[in-house]
Amino acid sequence: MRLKDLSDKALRKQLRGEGLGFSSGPFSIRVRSDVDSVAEGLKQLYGNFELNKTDFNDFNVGLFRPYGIRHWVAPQVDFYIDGYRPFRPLPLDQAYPMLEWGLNWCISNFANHLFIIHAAVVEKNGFAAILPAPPGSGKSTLCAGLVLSGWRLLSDELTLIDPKTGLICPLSRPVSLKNQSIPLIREFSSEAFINRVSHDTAKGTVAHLRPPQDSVLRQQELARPGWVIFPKWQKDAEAKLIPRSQAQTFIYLAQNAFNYSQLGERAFAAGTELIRQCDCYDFTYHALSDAIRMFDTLAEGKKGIT
Amino acid sequence: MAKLPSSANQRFLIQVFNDEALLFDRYSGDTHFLNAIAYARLKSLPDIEIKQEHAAEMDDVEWSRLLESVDKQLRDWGLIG
Repeated sequence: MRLKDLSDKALRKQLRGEGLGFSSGPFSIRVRSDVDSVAEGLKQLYGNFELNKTDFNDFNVGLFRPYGIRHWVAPQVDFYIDGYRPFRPLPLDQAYPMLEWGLNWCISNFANHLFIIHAAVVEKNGFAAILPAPPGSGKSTLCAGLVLSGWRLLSDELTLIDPKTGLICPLSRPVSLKNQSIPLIREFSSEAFINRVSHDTAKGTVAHLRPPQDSVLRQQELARPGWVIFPKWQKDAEAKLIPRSQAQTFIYLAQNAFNYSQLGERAFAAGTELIRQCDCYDFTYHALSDAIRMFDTLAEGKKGIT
Repeated sequence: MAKLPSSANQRFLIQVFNDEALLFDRYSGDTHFLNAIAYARLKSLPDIEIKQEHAAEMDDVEWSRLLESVDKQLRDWGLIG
């Protein structure tokens, strides 16, 4: 049974009761909540996810409105994991983004059997393009554009590398869009479903793009690393790939990994093996359509390689 | 993997990418990036050869200073004696 098969009433009842269980890539997640916008966001964005009823879940999370005055005046929401609140409460309007941020926090803090890099990652023809970049570089916009153009979404935020195999595990969850990228992606594709916008968050105005159905259905299918590409949106820039040093790219990835120091030698081995398999580039672009054409050309070059 | 000086073999893992290298220090857990000049020094290539390959335009005073700082860095990391 998929999440979208639940009626609104049944969904809310389950969220308030035993919780709603589903898998995202290698993780099983159970969400409980008394917040309507969380139910709405889950139905809209996770509708294609299969529900599961396992007793054990990697992450048991909750979003609840606090008791007391904050239940009524300037209402807030708390995020819980296993009954513990790792963050300060946020305004109730930000409940859904808080769920996504909270899940990212849980995975990046606790999934230390995987080497986790702060980067978007998409796949085509069996090869993954890893897109690390600082905030504001257009990484999420490019990721959204690619997954709306035939690339498979592996993750918009966390690249999960299995140190045993060197393969990349999908984590097909909604793509976080910020500020100007929200109308840009709406205009880019009529197939894009973006949920309600939350204003005045720590990241500005945010909303989430529903992951494509194909990416959800294939979320157990691992991918081989193919490229590490540092995107940078620049006004009026021609779409251009410039090769960069593999060793320096590794250093950047290690510095932007969540658990490099915890994994130590295993992360060094997994990361250097990954880099050895990848072509590394800096990439500047202005028009999303030009960027996608260039990525498609790269993917064509790997077609047929096994 | 390239060969390190024998004293450092147990301590460091090295991965070479073209003329650059990455080192993992098992004692400290630190990772070091060796640019082309540092890696050439680690391999004990002759100074003149390194200069011709990587810094042909540099004047001799500047080159000596650069080599000193590279050697100091390699010493600090425990890679050379």
